[in-house]
Amino acid sequence: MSALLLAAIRSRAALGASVAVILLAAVLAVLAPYLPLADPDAMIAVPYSPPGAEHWLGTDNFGRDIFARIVWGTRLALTVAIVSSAIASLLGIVMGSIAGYFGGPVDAVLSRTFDVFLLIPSFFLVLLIVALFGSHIGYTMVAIALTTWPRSARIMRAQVLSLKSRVYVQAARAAGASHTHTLVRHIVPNGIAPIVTDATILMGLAILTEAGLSFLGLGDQNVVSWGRMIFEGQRQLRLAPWMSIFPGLSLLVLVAAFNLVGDGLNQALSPQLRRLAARATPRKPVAAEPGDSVTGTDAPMLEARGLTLAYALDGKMLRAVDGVSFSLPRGGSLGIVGESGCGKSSLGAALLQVMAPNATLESGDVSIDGRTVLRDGRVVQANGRDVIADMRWTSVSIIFQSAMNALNPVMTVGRQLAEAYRLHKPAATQAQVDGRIAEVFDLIGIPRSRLPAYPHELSGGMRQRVMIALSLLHSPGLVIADEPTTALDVLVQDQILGEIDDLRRRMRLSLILISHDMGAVAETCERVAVMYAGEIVEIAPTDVIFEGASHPYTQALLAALPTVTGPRRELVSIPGETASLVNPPAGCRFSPRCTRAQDVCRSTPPPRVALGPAHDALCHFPGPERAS
Amino acid sequence: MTALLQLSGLTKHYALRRGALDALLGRPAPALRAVDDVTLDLGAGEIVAIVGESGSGKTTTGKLVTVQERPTAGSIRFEGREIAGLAGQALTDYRRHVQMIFQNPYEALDPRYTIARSVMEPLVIHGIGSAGEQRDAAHAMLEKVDLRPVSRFADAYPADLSGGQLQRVAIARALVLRPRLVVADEPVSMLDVSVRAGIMNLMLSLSGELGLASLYITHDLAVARAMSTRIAVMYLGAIVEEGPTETLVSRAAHPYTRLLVGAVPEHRPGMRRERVRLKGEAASLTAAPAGCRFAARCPRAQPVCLDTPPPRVAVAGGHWSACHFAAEVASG
Ligand SMILES: Nc1ncnc2c1ncn2[C@@H]1O[C@H](COP(=O)(O)OP(=O)(O)O)[C@@H](O)[C@H]1O
Ligand code: SF4
Ligand code: SF4
Ligand SMILES: [Mg+2]
Repeated sequence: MSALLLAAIRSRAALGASVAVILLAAVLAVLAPYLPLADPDAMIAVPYSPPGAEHWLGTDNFGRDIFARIVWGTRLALTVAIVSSAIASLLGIVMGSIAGYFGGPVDAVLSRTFDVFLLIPSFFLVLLIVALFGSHIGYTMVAIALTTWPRSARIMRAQVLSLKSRVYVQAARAAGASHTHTLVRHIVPNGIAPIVTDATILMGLAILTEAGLSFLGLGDQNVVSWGRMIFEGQRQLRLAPWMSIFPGLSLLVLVAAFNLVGDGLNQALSPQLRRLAARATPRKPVAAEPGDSVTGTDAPMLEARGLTLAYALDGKMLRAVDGVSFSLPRGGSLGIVGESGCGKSSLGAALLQVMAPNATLESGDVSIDGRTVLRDGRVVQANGRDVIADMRWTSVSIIFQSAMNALNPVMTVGRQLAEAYRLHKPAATQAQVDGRIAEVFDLIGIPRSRLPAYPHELSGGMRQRVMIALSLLHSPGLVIADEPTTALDVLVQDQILGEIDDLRRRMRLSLILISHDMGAVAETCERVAVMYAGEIVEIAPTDVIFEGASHPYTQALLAALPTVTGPRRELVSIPGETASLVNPPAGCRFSPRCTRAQDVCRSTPPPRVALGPAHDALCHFPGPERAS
Repeated sequence: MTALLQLSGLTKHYALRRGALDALLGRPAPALRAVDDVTLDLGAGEIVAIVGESGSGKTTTGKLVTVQERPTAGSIRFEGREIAGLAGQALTDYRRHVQMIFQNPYEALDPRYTIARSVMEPLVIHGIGSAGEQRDAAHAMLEKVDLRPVSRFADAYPADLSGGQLQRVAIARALVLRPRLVVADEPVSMLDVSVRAGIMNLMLSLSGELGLASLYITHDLAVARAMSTRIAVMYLGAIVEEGPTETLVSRAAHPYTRLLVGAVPEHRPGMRRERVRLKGEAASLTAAPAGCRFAARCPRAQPVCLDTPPPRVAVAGGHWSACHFAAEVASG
């Protein structure tokens, strides 16, 4: 079992225990007056009796029952926790919202105020208050709140700053909503979750502060406080260690419980953390067999058979790639298109075995450049190493969607390329490294003068070119590009796609271009595969896809596409929603949306029908669009 | 006939942060010229598309029209009335007539509101009708944007809906006040093609049915062509060409527009087109251009372009281009 899983279980147990501790403390605090306890202030027993049947936790120097005092102390600890964190949170929500929402000078003044309050030590403030008004637990709580509220205010300010640019907030404003309406109805309710979470941590902090103050003799003398008990106990540490140990333990346990609950809430509220925690059990690798390596140029550049990838998701399986087969000749180019979520990126990641941690390759065979890298869904190894690991970057590389944001911001692009080069060629001389980098920069049209630039000094287009240069460093035979130009403007996109196209032709590179943009693929790829709900539903030479598509989904996609150069025509949308990958529809996955669907489509998965050279479709009734 | 919306000389500069040294030396803070002297008319019921790349100022123009931002100079007239300085009740009234549809449908609705409550909200803000009437109006609007059966959607939360459905709700919310003008900022750019067509068709049919005028902001010429009767092309804060949609797409009179049309990736049967080769760096948005703002990248630039700002050259009725050589460009 993985260590992560164990840690998760452990933290769950700890979380459960913490909640139980807090509940118990709450029950004790509420019921303290009604429990059959000794009077916590009555000096009834023999002083310094050790723990025993009569006094479970012993008695103190005045002969008071320590157990009773701890229970009463719980009452005080929780009151302090709740009241001071409530004041602090409220103050924080109001001030933080105002600072974040109005910004500018208002924010500048308020933010300074937060800083000043954070700087005042609460002890000092209480000392001041005690000196002015005398010691009372109410003052202590106010003092604690006054020194902790800026913490909530800062959190709230950050929340409001991010929420106020949300579209629904802008929309409310544009509809004529007042500032108050916008703040009270939209921003604050959506922003307070982390304040509530943090309040649990504040509670722990408040209890600790109050105990500290009482320990220093600054607390209210009329209430039972753990802090004062510890203070009184530490003078008798030798004689009666129980006097300070038990209140100390109570303090520790309760504060720890509040902190753990705070952390737990934090995690529960953050979906990213939850997703990261999910992991798939890896399948056993298999050893390479003699037939796994075909040398020579007869083998296709890439061959995939029945490739299936599933994500583990909240106990369900989401099959993002389902039985995908295709092959790519050397120097060939294949576009993979389809709507978002149909599994294009997952397919690219599966081919190179660079998937998310919760993904499993359930089945399929993949060979790249004549070498088998996946057999029956199992990673092929040679000499104890994954075959694909040695091929990444040198034989095949991948350019990820929005990869341009993946460059290291604090390292010049030149150095990043040099490090990537040395990773696979550790023995290279400096001259070799520089020479190769200059070569790839020239190839993809980046001026060499940009080598000493940091990523933020480059435009989006230039950064994306750097990523392409990176992928070409070791002269791979195959490049998989996943939406390489999606975030860029049309002119830059066209230029970069043109450069990729040129390179491919000049260097006999094989290319897989993944894109949601049919047009981009049309002009860059010789063949196109159309994906729907994890399957390739049609694959054909590009001209055939655009002029003689046979699958109703391909036809529907094209009918929905607006054009600049073609005749202006009415666009037709595809009814319904994309199919679920967790529970795909029975029979043909496109059947709920297909205008050609018959009963057989809803009950029987369609066959893969060969329609021409290098053209097939997954459909019961493939063929040209019928006039209806 | 006066236009429904008239923008003239509309300008928005954002003050940039000054370096400490510049401040010490008393140098003025640089300004980012997001929108620079934009003049554009929109007739009642008309759909005009503003097309441009990111940073060209199209979104800022939309924000100025919906008074989410205030102009630095210039005027915005709505039904002949100046709105640039409106405040208080007069501004709230204006907002009843001018609504906005945003780009990101996944953030368009408050996650804590039901769909019906989101659609009702503008009525609540403006205090129109009783609670029951507001609810009925919201349901009727959901019906209009084809979210049927309404009962299935009204009490759902945004998290239960797809991107296309969310954008339909956003449209319903924008139209529930029966505005006369809608500013739509890239409303389909985050949606898949199949869904996109449905939203585009819906917007077209609702515009016709309700006599709505729209300012349709997009980076995508193909979408602009499908949606509009007129197109204005923006480059670095200024409109460089404006004309009837079909004319502009097929006989552009500005080199930048030509480049944009040529860069649209599309299957062009039996033909391989030249890919774009951009030269130079785009001019800066902070300095006022001495000559033509496109000169640094223009494939046709001449010496005159570097020092003389091009005038608006009329090419045909309602079609003009800010280029010294507009006529030559238009004729091929
Ligand atoms: N790590 C992951 N865990 C669970 N589901 C995922 C993960 N990554 C992607 N998915 C889901 O898999 C499906 C396919 O996603 P993806 O391959 O990114 O499609 P595309 O690239 O075509 O948009 C989607 O439903 C997506 O939500
Ligand atoms: S199998 Fe039937 S439902 Fe599926 S695409 Fe073909 S005709 Fe449509
Ligand atoms: S004025 Fe000159 S630089 Fe500007 S677009 Fe026309 S030809 Fe090009
Ligand atoms: Mg993707």
